[in-house]
Amino acid sequence: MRAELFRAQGVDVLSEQGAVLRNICLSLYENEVLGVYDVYNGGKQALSELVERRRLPSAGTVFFSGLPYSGENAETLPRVRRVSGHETLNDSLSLWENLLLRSGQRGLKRVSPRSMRRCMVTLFREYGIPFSPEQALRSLPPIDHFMLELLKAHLERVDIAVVSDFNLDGDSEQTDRLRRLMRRLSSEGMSILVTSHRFELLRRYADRIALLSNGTLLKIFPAKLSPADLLKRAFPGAAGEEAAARHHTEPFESASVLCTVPELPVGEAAGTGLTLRRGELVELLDPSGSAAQHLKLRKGSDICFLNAPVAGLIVEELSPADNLCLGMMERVSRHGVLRERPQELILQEFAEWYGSDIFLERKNCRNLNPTERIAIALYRLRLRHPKVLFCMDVRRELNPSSRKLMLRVVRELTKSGSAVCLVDTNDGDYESGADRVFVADGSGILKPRESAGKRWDV
Amino acid sequence: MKRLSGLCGNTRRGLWNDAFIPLLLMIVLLLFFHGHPHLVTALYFSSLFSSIAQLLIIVSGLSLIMGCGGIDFSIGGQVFLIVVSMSLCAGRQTSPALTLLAGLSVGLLCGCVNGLLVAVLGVPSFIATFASSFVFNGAAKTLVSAGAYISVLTDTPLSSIRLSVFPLDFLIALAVLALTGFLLNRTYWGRYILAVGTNEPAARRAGLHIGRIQWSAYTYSGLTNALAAMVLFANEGLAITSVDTELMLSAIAAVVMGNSNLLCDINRSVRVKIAHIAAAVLLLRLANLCAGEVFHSDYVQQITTSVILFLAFALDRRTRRREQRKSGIADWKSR
Repeated sequence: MRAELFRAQGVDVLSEQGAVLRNICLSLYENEVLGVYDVYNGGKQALSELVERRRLPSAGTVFFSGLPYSGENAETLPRVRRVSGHETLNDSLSLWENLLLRSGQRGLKRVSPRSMRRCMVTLFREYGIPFSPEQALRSLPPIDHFMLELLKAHLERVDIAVVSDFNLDGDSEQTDRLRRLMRRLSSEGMSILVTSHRFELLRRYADRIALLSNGTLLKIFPAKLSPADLLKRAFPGAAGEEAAARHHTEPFESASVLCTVPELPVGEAAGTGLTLRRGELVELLDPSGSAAQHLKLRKGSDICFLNAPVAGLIVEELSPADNLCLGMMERVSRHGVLRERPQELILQEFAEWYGSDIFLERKNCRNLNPTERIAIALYRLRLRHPKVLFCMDVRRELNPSSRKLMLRVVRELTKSGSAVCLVDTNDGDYESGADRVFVADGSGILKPRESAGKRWDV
Repeated sequence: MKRLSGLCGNTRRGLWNDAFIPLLLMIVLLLFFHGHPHLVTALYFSSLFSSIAQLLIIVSGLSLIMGCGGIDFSIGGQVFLIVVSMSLCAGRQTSPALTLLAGLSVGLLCGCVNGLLVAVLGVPSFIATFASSFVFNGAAKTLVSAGAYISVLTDTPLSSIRLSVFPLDFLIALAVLALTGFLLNRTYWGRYILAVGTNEPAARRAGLHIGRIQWSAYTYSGLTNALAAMVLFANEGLAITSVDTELMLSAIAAVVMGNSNLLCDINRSVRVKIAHIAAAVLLLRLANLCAGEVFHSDYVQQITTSVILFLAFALDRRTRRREQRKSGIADWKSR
């Protein structure tokens, strides 16, 4: 799973002319080349400056390596460098001198030219750069300057390289060379943000393309799609799809991301991310089942799973009160010794919640029916109050009354701020009233479905 | 009405389960002392209690391990190594406190090693403890061959200090057993152990740290093994010179007979189970004595213990199947 180096969450940036970025939610992951397309320069420029930490958002939050950034400098922040082709290069110096001359460094003291040249020959050969280190920089075309500056950033162990407003054409050989270098550097850990107003250039170099229009993020999609698909996704004609796309990218009200699964393998391709925000219910219909398998790997004390079979949900030999508190018994004990009173109270509350007092007298859970067992497991989840709950394909195991109970718990959890994701391998209507519904359509894309947004009726 | 009759059936079965071991013990006691009326003396009872003290302490630790679904075949090796290390300290004229501390440390270390093998490395407990028994035994024999093992004769063995007919080592064993019962019955750690032992997937889904719980059970068992070795050391002043396989066999048989691994109602019968374990230990001892008397051979005792173990397992299996049938897990979906 790739690390998220930069994230803008509901970011607004205002300038003298007005808002240049509006409610942007965007992530930049490790090992990726992200292209940002905008016809006008204001949005791209503002986004680049946010990544370079030269500007703070007017509203919203910017995260670096998962931590919110508020202007202070810290060593844990990823290293960011702007790459413009002339930012740190000197035309009058040779290539190897340019590579060694770091920004702010005055001279080349304590450097043996001969050994450095030898090193550079090896380096150039390794990264597929067909130039002599002795060559003067001015002898190279401008597009190769980018290449050299990217390599320099890599030598300085930069985490994010921002190629701002890239609009240079080159012949096929030069383009291939630059693309190969970008791929190589991104595979070695560097993330590259390329902004441009030329869509075809971004398609050539980037892995994903974020489409900005009037400061609003319209869509993010893989750059490998066919031109027809790209056009369809970038400029959806139908009103329904447009609304669905807006719903997909629109941040949830009072949004705060609780869980992000950046690489969700749905269908044949991989790379689509799933983000769960506070207090929302997301339904994921995944016929292939690969997303469910991938999600099961997620670990964390605040992430819970409800999955089949129901026989493994409770410990039959323990009493209902013990089963309700299983995993949380520390809360009902003092110095490790169990206290009866809190357990009794929990049991009484559960009996009221379930509407039956048959649990009160039971010493074990052996003769309970499936609905009662599921009720205990669900109430335990309710008590545990996880931040994120994944219900993995539970529909097959649930009878109507159990399903009703599950939706009731889901509603209670989402109301109290948890995020719930219902994952189902059957493409059926859950009638769950999910806020967002995605269907894995086999092409690796989570397609938002229009039935989203219905409220449940329990 | 159906529910009521079911409950009555459960109660009857529960009473029978609870009374089975004590009844069997009473019968064996009556038969034994009927054949040997001259042995009905306070002194004989005292020596009988003292002879089972060490086993009781070991069994209390083993019941936790078996409670969480594991097994420990390295008991003999652990006891051997602990006693050797204690005699090493005692032979160097160190203080008694340091000797005891050394014994406890070695016991804890052995338990930790077993726990790490099972819980962290995921080695099946059968293989892990079987292999570690050779390690502990080998380490102890190495120390013995290097001349570290010294027999220290004690002036006042623990068994000679008595409260009425109960020797001190037996009282210590009862205290350890009661502590184990308390931990199992009244602490969340005990509930977690039982949850892991009876339904590990459910315990995992409930968010329990399975490995940590298993590791703690093995560590506790190492501690009780150290206490058992101390009792042995304090009584006899010298240790066994090889792995005592009968000790391990008797301990496992006692735990199985003591119902610790059966499907009884946990809330009701942890106390009963602990009492059953104590009764089963005494029962085994008496059965061995009877077999020794009848066949005039020490080897017959091991055969007797093994036969009792087989019978206990068969009974355990039968009870499990019956309980599972009656709990009606199989016909959930048809309801």
